[in-house]
Amino acid sequence: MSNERSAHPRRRAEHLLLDRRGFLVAMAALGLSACSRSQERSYNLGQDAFLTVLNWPEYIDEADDGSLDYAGGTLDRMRADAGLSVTYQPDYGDTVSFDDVVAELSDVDGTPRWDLLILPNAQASQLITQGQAEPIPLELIPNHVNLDPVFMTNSWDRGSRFQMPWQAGITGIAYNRARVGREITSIQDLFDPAFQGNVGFITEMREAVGLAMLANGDDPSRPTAEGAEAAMTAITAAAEGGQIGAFDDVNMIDLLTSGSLDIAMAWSGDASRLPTSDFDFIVPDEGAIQWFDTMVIPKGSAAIAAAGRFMNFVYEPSNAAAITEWVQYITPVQGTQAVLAQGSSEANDLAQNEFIFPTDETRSRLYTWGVLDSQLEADLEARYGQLIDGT
Amino acid sequence: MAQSTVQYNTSGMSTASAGDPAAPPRSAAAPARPSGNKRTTPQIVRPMLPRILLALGALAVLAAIAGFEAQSSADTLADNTGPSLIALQDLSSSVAEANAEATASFLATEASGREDRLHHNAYLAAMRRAAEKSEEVSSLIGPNPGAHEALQDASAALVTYGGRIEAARVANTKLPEAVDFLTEGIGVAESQLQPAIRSATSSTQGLLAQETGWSTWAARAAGVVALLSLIHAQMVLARRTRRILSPLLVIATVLTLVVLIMFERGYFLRDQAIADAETGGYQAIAATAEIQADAFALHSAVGLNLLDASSDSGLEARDALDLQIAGLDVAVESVSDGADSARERAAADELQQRWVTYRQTIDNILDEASSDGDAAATLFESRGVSSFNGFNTSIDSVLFDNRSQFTDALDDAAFAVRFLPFLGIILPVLAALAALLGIQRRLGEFR
Repeated sequence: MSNERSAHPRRRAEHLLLDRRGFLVAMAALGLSACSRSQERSYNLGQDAFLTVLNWPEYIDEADDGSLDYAGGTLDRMRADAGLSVTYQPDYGDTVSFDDVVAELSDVDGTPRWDLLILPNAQASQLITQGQAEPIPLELIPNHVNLDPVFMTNSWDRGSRFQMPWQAGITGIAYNRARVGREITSIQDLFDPAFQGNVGFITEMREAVGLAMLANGDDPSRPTAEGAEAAMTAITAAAEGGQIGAFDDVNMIDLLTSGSLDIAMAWSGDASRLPTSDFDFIVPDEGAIQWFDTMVIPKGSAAIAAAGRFMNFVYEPSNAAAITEWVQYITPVQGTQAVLAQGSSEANDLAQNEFIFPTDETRSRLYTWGVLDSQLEADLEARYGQLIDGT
Repeated sequence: MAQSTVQYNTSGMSTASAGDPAAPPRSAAAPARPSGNKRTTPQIVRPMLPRILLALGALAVLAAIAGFEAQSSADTLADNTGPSLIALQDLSSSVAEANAEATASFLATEASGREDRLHHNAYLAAMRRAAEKSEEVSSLIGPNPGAHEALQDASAALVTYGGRIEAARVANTKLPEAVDFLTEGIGVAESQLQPAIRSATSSTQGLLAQETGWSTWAARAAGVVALLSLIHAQMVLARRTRRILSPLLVIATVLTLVVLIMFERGYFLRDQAIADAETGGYQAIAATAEIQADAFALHSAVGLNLLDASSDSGLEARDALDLQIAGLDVAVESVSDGADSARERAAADELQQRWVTYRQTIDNILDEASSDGDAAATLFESRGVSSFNGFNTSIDSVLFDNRSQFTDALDDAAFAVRFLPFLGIILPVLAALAALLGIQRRLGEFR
């Protein structure tokens, strides 16, 4: 069976017939047509496989000196146990943007620079729906069965056939207890004039607008134009009224600890670095936004098998536990909690952390941004970008 | 067309030039050919030309018609019939999913006393998808009265079903008959909606059979006539001119033969691809979709069982559930048997493992239900739904492979006959040109 629809003889011939040798090619294609079906994908699996991975910074275990490929680390064990030589580039969101990725993949004549991309779910869905992603080599990933079903129901990739989540997180609210002076329970607190100029908003539009929608009683998992517009209006008013002190993402925790902000939208994994003596991270009563970053093999990758091995390795619960211990985000790998529970006391603490292993009650208050008209979403993105630039 | 004539004199001496190799001068000893009794070579050969051209012309016209018909019918299969059948399976599984989510939503709302959001959203999404698929099928199936009628019945049943479920939702926690509304809704889905979808599917599936039309038989006949005419002309020329082959006529014969072979090959490959699509693809889709519908039905039944746990029929219901589970055990195992690639085997293995997880979870829920209904409902809401989602999306994964196989095979069927109209026109025209030149050259040798 052929899984490569783009390589189908019919389409191939349509393309080739544009050539001036059309007739001869048509005859040749006719001859080939009988044998081109029912071909399985095959991979050249050598002893050592090389692949280049693009990921966010600080998203895999590091040594104390900041090196990634240290003895006993995930990348080191990957080489020893799975025969994978990984060129790991933690540059996404730093020196490499999604536009750079799209531009790279638009060059149809070349092999993409990266063999495996770790992208936010919204951007991964964009690549997948536009046919810019390879199906994952399921036959090389027996650990696919460890994938938490929560991540398998996305309408754009039911059953997770084109991507495998790397880590997930919650965009909730982090705040400095002393400076805020009260317990924070609601998203509405972000708009409280008492905190004017000391509120941080996340730079990711879907998360900020999603939280504002929840504050308005709207459901961001089924966003409507009216609901999104009302949320954007509220955020715009807050930004223009000086309520928002900063729009940020990876530095939000630093802004809180340095005292530049008192209360902010924050990612659960980053918030785990806040000193618990002074700070709290909450899922507000109205709910919070859940997101995930996911592994995608870009179209044309020359290392599909190696990417499959990489995925299988990180979906082994013991390997996933090592990553979770360091990044402290929600792991999509079932079985990780049990591994951590049997580890050191620190690991055991993590196994009990509800922001790494959310309870059913917490899960019921988490919303993943749904599908909105792409033009409207682009418009919201542009307007939100203007607000960020204006601060 | 220039008419060349060759005249013989009564003395038996040819008027052709001495240098003409095709008309050797007769020896003086040769007996004189009696004038008027027998026709000359040009007189014999010349009438063959229009017959050959006529046969090749007829072949061109009929092969083009047959080719266009085959192409159009195969394209309809690939672009309409196949997608219709897939959309009908989607419609069926969307209804089953809506059923399961409606039950889960009802249960969650009843247990918590407040409107359940997650399952109700999933129910609405499934209903929206069902409506979209119904419209999609309607726009794809074309002139198929049986399928249209069944689809209208399905649409009407979908509205009735939605009404009952909405009534159950509104009445939930307020009226005791809310469960009855839910049960009625599920009854509508099972007794009206799903049978209507099955009827539309059966009617559409009949379109997969490709019939051989009159134009194909006529083209075959014209091809055979043209081929025989060409062979006959060569035999006559060979006998009359003492030369074995006329290269241009051989080319014309080969081209005619190629037309016939390409058509037969095209039809053969098309039929083979359609057979593959039916056996390797569609039957697998239907079987997998059946598993999915059974899985939704089981999930829904477990939910209803929890709602009905206090009644006397609890044990009977448990027996019925065990039967459903046993059926799914067998069906899920058969998916592995049908896998014919490493990828499909991997997907089938995962399906099997996720089924085992779901089945164990159901067992736990049902065991819990006998002692603590609320705890069972909570378990159903959390691990029950999660393990069901894992199982259900694994079925989606297998379905995805089957659909690829089905649509690829239909694409292959369309591709097998794609160039027939082009070949049906161009090759007979080239053959006619070659025949014309070949015969004229031979006749020219007698000038």
